[in-house]
Amino acid sequence: MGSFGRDERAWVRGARAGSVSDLEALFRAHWPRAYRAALLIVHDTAAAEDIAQEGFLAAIRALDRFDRRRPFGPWLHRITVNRAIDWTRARALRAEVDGETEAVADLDGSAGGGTGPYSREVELALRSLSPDHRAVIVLRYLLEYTPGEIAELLELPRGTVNSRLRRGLDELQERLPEDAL
Amino acid sequence: MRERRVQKLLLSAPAPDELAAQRRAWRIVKAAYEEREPVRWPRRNARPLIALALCFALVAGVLTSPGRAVLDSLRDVVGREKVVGVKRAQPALFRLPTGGRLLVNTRKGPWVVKPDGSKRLLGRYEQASWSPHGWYIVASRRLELLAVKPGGTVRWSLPRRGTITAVRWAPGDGYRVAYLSDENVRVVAGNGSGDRLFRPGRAPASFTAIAWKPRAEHVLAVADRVGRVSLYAVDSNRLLWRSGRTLSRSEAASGSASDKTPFELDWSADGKRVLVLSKRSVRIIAGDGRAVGQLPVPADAVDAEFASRSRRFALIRYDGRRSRVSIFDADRPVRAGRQLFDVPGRITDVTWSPDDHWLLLGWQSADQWIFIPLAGGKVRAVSNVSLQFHSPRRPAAFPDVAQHGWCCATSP
Repeated sequence: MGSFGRDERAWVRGARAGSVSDLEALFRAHWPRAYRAALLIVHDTAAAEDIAQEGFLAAIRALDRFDRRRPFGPWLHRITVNRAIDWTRARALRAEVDGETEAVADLDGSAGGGTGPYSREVELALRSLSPDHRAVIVLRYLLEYTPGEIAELLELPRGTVNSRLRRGLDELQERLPEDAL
Repeated sequence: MRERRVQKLLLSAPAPDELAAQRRAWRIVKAAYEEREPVRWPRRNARPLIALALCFALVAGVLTSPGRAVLDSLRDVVGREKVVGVKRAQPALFRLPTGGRLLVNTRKGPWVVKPDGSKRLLGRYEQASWSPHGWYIVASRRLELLAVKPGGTVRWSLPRRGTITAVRWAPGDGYRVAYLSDENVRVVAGNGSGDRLFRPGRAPASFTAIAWKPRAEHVLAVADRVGRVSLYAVDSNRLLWRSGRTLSRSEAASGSASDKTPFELDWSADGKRVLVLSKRSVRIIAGDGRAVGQLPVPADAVDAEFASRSRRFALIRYDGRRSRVSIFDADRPVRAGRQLFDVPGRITDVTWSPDDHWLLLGWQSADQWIFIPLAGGKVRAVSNVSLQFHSPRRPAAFPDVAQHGWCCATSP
């Protein structure tokens, strides 16, 4: 972690100075989690790609203003997760029922990316949560932030984060097969 | 245990198209990066250089009298852009403007502040609130509910599994404590015994706020996720009344209508009015369940609290840029309130003094506490609030005065 932190600071410094290879290192280090976090919230591969990509583009635009002493990850994750929540809410408003059905099929383990035995069940269970609950679950268990850090990232009271985590876990437990949890 | 399994499942969940998406995104990100105009060293380091220059200017400003004059005028100009708070604020809380003690929740735990400004950190607890007369403080921490004396001695503790989000000690005899645990209401005796889940009849399971009715024996108001407020006689499990809902079930389930979900309940001291606060409205319900009125809130409602001795309540509204604090009469809530304070930035909490002569506002954006004399007189301000409670000066870490946290004219 310490070494990654030092590498990351060096990459940010290099990227600010114009080094494409440092930018690429930064991108490769953070893309998988940013994309996966967006995907688990929006359940749409194209949208997740756009959202994670937009996150990186926003980061590049603000690179010169970025405080090098702070970690890059939380900054990127805040942008990505908030955009994913907004996108999901907007889709709910548009009631894209057909698109949603298609997305389930898209995310089926058979599409090539899923390796876990419960991939399909996890997708469906996550889909049953509201975007806000999904976001805190993803931030806590995929990106491994503490509830306090999630509260800061999403600008929520800590009690709300705790209650969403608890509620999210309860709902996942209800919907996943018994031997999955 | 189940948390580790969820983590494992999320990590193994499918991420189809990840590598192809990464290749496509990298092409776009790289192109955007190459089109960007690199910033030269002087401009890239302009901020640290300006900060350094400002430090020198500040030192000069503090050390010389002409410098201080320049700083005063600068403060005026900067104040239009950045929240700098009340001028000539006290640098620390040297004393409270009237009697009583403050209970302040911070990231390090709750603090008790005495009238002379001295304060004591109780321990690493959360959600602290006073017992009647300020004899005890009830609080929670991971897997535990506790009653603590203001001096810090733990009187009793109760192991609990869930996440506790609100704890309230019954007024009057103090024989009951209610708390929200994972959106369930639980009740325990004032000595820590007889903890039980409170779910009479067909009561809904997701509660968002609780408040004991004053001048009644163990009568509890609870608000649920669909916006209903119910009043129960806790010892007999009897429902006394229930208000209508403000959200449909589908709205509540979608999570998109949280603006209408109540997040705070507060009773007037005489138990005749209960205030139901949600982000977009303030509802007032009479003690017998009759709706008295509703105050629409175009900006976000942040906090509200009844006075200690009347049916007036103070309300904070925040429109994204400015905070406004007003006082309303709960018998006529639709009438325009008396506006007390209108400032840029966020005010996060409002608390009445025990004698109702002062109102304490937590002005997060300025890192100040503002004491407003309600009978007229000079506003008092205290700066560096975060620092005094050993909190980092970050918005999320600004100390939070507990609900009715300015307690008790006389100390025990």
